[in-house]
Amino acid sequence: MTTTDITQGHTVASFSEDLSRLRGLVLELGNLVKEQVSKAVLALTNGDTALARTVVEKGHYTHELDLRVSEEILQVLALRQPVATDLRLVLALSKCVHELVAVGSKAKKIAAFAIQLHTDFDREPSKKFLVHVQHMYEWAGSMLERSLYALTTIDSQKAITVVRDDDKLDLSFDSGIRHLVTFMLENPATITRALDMIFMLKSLERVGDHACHIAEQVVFIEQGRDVRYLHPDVLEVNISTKT
Amino acid sequence: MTAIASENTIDGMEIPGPALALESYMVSGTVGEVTVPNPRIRAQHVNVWYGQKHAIKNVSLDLGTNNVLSMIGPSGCGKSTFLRCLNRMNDTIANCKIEGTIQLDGKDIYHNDMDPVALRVRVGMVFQKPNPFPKSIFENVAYGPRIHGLATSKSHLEEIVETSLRKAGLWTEVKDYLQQPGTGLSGGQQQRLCIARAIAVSPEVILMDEPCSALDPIATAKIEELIDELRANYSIGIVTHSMQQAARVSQRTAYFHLGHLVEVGETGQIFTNPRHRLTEDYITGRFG
Repeated sequence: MTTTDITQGHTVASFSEDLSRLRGLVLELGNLVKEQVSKAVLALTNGDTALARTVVEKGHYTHELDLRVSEEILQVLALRQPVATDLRLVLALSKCVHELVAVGSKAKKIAAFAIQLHTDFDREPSKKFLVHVQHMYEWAGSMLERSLYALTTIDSQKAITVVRDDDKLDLSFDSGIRHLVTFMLENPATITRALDMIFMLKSLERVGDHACHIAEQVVFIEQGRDVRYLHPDVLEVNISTKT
Repeated sequence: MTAIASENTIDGMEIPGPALALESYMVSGTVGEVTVPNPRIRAQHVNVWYGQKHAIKNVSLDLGTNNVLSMIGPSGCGKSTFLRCLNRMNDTIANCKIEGTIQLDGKDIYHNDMDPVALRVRVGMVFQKPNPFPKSIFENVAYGPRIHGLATSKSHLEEIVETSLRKAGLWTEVKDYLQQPGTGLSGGQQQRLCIARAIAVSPEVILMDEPCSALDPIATAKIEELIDELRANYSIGIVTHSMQQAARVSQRTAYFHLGHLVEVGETGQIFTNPRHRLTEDYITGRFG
């Protein structure tokens, strides 16, 4: 693969600057939501409600960045009329922003759940549940981080590792669900709380899905192929055939 | 016929795909399908020299029926030279030498028994700068049919003029001023008059060499709309420096570079996912 920055090299240098700034904003949003997810999970596992509140309160930052990116995309499309790689980059970044905003929303949900769990119920969540949370976060957080790295370097090979790992995250999610179902069967009084926990685990599972969607956009940028809805095995064959 | 070279090689050398293309700017073949089913014009292995200068290098390219083919590329890449070969406009240049074959409906246009004048009736040309004759609007359109004996009567000639002006989208604007000089029209109207003049002799192919470069956006839009309408009856080849125009008006796009035909393909593909790095660099404005 090329190591050249795909935003650069235009004869009109200000066009390169526009694309670079646009991608920078998206990556800034990516780093923000990645940090939000990390803090939300930390707040949950440590019972740190103050930290959880900062995540909830910072939610508007993602919306501000979302608006800024949307405005930049509008300007680039209207003023530069990008084609080929540039067009694919702009379209893909537009989709990535939606994914990242959704990740931010999940972080907010997890943080809100942490506040509820450690305040309303006034008791520690079970250690076993927290093990599931931690395990799922390790996968989801890693997938998100790698998808952002792949977006930074436009590296399809890196991106495909993210898509491939979604199965592992799903397995971890299934394991957590099985545990919570057992929990509910043993004590029906915990059903309401267990359902909240399921929604929380689902949020982490969705973070992984959003990371996959970002990774698919990286492949679209670099290869010019829309690989959404492809099974990871097929995707892998496509990528390897290309190179 | 398939592309001159296979999809992945040029003269035995591997053509890099978009992801790998930075390593090579080697150009000696064509990426993409140069042929189309049912071509109106088929050019094969065309080479053109102006004296010692090798202006067109082994270019093969089809112009499809009822299809608009745009030819793009930097100045001096050979796109206009190639276009001019298609109706033997280069014949008048003393030191110009042409090799290869160019067929119109299966017949070699450079064969000895092909009359260049008759050929230019079938393959009309519209130039960059509108060049109406210093005659009336009517005479500008009537001139061709008259000298080629295409009109059987005065009323037939009038009918040809009206039909041609209608097809060129100019009739409603000039019908009351047909005896006014063509040179008195605006730039956009003059260009449409030239298109009407080309249409009047019932060509099969219309070639356009940067037809909108001297026009304002409104006149350009009218010409582009006209090109789209004319496609139903004619095959059109257009050379343009405006990539947006190529994207808007054509179904196929060919990219020329230093006399080579680098890539040809569906216009949508060329402008979203070109396969050759040179095409990518050109259309994204990365030539420095």
